[in-house]
Amino acid sequence: MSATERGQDSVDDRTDGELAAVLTAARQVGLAIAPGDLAAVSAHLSLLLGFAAVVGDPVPEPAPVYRP
Amino acid sequence: MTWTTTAVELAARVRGGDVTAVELASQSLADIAARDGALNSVTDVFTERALDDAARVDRAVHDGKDPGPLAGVPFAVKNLFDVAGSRTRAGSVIELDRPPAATDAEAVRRLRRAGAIVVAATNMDEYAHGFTTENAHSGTTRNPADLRRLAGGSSGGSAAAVAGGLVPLALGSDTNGSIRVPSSLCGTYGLKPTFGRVSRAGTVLFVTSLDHVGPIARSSADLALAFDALAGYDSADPVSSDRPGEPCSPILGRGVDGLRLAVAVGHFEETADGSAQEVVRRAARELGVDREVVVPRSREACAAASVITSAEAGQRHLAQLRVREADYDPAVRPGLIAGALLPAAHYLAAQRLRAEYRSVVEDLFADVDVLLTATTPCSAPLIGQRTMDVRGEELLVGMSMGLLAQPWALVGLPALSVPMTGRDGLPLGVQLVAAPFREASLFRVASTLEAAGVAVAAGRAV
Repeated sequence: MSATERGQDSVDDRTDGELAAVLTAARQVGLAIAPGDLAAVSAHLSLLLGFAAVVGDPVPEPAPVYRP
Repeated sequence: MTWTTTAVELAARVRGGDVTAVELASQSLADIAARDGALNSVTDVFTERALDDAARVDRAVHDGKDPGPLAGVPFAVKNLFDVAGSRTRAGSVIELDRPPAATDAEAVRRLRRAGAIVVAATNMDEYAHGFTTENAHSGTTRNPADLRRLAGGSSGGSAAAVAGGLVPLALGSDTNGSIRVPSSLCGTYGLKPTFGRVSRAGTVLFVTSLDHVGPIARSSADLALAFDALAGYDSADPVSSDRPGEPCSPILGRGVDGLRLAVAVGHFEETADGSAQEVVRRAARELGVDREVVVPRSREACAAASVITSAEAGQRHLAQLRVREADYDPAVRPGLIAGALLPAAHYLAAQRLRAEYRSVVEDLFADVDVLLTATTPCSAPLIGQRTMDVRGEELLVGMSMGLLAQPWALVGLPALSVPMTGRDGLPLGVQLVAAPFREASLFRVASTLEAAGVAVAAGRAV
């Protein structure tokens, strides 16, 4: 299990570039992130991208809507 | 009546006229007032309504009518269930700005129809986003087994209220383990039914494609009785299944003969500490299980569940985050925002992985009836503890408590946490998992472990 999968990516590890990218993405969906939240949002996003990397690239079928 | 009296016993006494429903409701409300200060499991009490409902049950008994299988049994609901006349919090202060619920959630309605009395609503992580029931608005729920420890979440208030003897029965919701995790940490029985088996209508949803509703109780018989009352088609929930289910109460005590049982290893062993592995081995020994199976791709399934959870929850809250961001719990807000920013490609890939994992488990359950795993990687962490050590790996408490529960929610399988005791003397659950709509098999195993004295609900009168 990588550090990212374990959720250990620290808010202190965020780079200026990552923070700027998060701010830009947030503005594009109409969100204004409070300065005190920016590093935490960036760390969460990094964690999610780590999960996405674990998921990888499954067989490209159309996404199913789950039904029991 | 003692705090350990089961719902089955209470209902029998009400039906037999030994005690009234009003007396039971009054006792539960008095217990909450006297003892919940130590737990902080309850956020709302419904005194007037509970006593009115109880009086109605007593009139039915007096008139010789059937008051229902749960006659007079007090129950609590996670505070994301609508209770008519009350504001539905969902752990949030934003929701309190909405009008009181006009009607009961379908699950509440079905338990009331069975004669049960809703007496309280319970604490939870804000919008069910978490595994700890640490809520910035309503405080942290403490574990009845050790008040210094977390109750788990997000249905932590419901599990703590049951384990603490305030109510014999409660409702929770489970997206990635939120019924099973607090059940494991508090020492209660908790069931996440098959996806679509119990209606979610009238609840505040967190992740539409993953949310389940289910009961928490102190015995397998109580859990089965509640599940039988809850299960069934509801046109108000678009994912509700119309497939008839087998009632579970009648099969309790039938034993496990003929069931193909196995212990899940691989991810499910690697993500459990020594104590968690030991309780699984103890249950397996009692059941005579020596077969082990690997469930391939379970680690990817956890990752996919996390991606889907974040993306769906982020989109659900995006409009509200634009205008009420400051009113969210600071511990929840960054995760919701990050989910709203996640590129769609990752969500779609996670949904494809979900379909592939479903095929994996369908193949597996062609040859197995019930799988055993630990419910949580370890027993309850201390309140304020940020990380936990699992086999030498330091995991974040708030992120990792659901690692053994997530894969089954991802593909909608029924899973039941059975209460056992770990090496440290704290509650620790064994998770039973079956193919869709096979809850009855889970109850056969759970009641066998209970009858053998291996599974024992924990908690204490605080």
